[in-house]
Amino acid sequence: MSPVLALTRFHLRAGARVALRANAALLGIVTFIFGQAPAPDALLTFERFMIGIVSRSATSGPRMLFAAIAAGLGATAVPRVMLGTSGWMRSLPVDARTRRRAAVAAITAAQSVIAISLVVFAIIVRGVLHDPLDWPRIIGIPIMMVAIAGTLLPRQQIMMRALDAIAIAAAIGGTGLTVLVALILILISNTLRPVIDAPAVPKAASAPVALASQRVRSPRALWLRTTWRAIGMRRMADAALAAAIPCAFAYFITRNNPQLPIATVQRVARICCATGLAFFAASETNALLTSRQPWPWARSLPWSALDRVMVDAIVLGAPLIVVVAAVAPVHWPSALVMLCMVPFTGALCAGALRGASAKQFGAAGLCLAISIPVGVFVAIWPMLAVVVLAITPALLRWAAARERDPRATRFAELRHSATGDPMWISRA
Amino acid sequence: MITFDDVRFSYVADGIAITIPRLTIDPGLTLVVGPNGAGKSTMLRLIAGVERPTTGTVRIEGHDLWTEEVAARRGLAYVPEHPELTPYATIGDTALLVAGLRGVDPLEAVDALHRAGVLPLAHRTVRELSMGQRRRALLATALIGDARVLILDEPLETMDQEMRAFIHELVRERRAAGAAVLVATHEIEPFVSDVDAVIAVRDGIVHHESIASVPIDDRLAHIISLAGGVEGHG
Repeated sequence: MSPVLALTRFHLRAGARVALRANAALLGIVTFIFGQAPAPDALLTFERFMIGIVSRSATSGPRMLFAAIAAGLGATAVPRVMLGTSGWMRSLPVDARTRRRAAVAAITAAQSVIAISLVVFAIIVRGVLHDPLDWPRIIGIPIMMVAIAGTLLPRQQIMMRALDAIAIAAAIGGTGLTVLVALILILISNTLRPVIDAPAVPKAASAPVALASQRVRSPRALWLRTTWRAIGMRRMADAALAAAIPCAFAYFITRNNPQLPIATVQRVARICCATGLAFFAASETNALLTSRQPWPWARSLPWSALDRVMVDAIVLGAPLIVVVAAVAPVHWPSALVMLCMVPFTGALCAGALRGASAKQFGAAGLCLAISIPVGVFVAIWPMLAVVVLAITPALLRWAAARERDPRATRFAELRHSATGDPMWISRA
Repeated sequence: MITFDDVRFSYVADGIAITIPRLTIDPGLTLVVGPNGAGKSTMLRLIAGVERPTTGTVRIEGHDLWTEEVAARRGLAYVPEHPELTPYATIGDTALLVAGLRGVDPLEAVDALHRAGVLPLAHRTVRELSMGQRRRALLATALIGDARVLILDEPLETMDQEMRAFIHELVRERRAAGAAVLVATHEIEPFVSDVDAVIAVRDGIVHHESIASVPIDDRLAHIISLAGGVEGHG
């Protein structure tokens, strides 16, 4: 068996397999978005989409959307496929080019849903819709998948990434010439020799600190800082983007409909705020779930599960104020009502975080399932905000009960990120 | 000091990892022995409050680990086999966290790091340390405050001779201070002269026996026989 094949098979059985499971979440979102178009528009939209992929079409929109979905699938696969590849695996008798090819093959395989969809679309468009197939367009899709995999690979020369990125654009073009160009670009990128990046070097050590003179922090403050470091500003900012759409929607509706009665404006502001809070909360909680490795030993220290849950509720709840602030200019009293949802949602996130590592949607499923209906109820009947505030302590106790329950020692591969995991010596 | 009452624990819904109908562990050195995968570490994790029993209760000095969480863990120090430290805090931060939670002077954290030989590494995170240094850092946390229950899981593993001698001294010191010291190990011989009781774990079943009355010369053979003849001499 050739080294590429052996390595590819390994990736397929390891990272790509896990990635395929994780793809379910993304595909669910895509299906949901398609399903939102009202019938019969939904079927018409889907029909045009399929034709745009495999047949002649004036616009490249469907192919760009297809590429975006493929990129999403590939991006989900990258951290899983690359896990540990810069550590012990470097000692194997395989050159850097072979390693890259195998990783590209595995990330391409993780987008197999795209290839399956392509075949299904071709059959439907030819057999049911009786439209002619456009072969360069069809052939362009697998080439695009390979180019996407090549572009997404971390730590490679900018030239290789640029070639693959241009190949994606060319493959989306879908003419015989552009598909040929895409193929040539991929072949060139594939023949370049990847640079083997330097081994992980620890940060330059500063002079030994005088620990005794360090400003003494309370244990809760130390835990708070540790948790914040795990999630980080960048991940938090990424998560906040999830709230941007509902918040923008509030502005879009109210600014473009000045004749709307004030009661409707209030309701729009509250509903959009509730949705934004739920999306942000779900997103940030999943970010923390992935980034903060379990620390079972910490459970042996003299603090209660409620203490740990409280800190998580603060870390996850405090940033949600941004959503309320974003909606405030639309109608500030409504935003003030929705502020009551912040402690509730923080406590909910802290509870959802517990035991979520083995779940397909992580903590996001439970976060959304509870925070959206509760938020919408509060948006419709603002007096419920008081009830929501009142039940927050009970929610914290529920979260603490969930904190005590999980098998702390069990390893859940689905939600594991090697970045920062002390058990992974390598930079993965 | 440590009591188990009808404890059952499983990692998966339909399996049983360990069963302990009734057990009391008194102050002194207790060795936990048994073959690989028998459930030694699981038992220590149940005592440390890391894992919650599926059924039953574990009490430390009369406090239930899961209803009186803080009180039960106040005098408890646990050093796991694998150095479980978060990469998002430095070794110094972790020591300060433990000192804060145990309610002792932060200077004790500094002293503990110094005694374990990791004070110069206090500004580093666990990722920047070797395996031995990681274990030293965790051992340092066990030195903070006066632990009345000291739990050491394979404490001699990856340690150099100096640290091995230090661990023996720590075990003797805590034992003399009236603490309950539990050591899960395959290296029995270094602890033979101090051991008061043995817990043999086989296939999740626990057998407890006091061996204080067994002559020191016969102890090693006796413990090995309890462990099922699978232990080494260390």
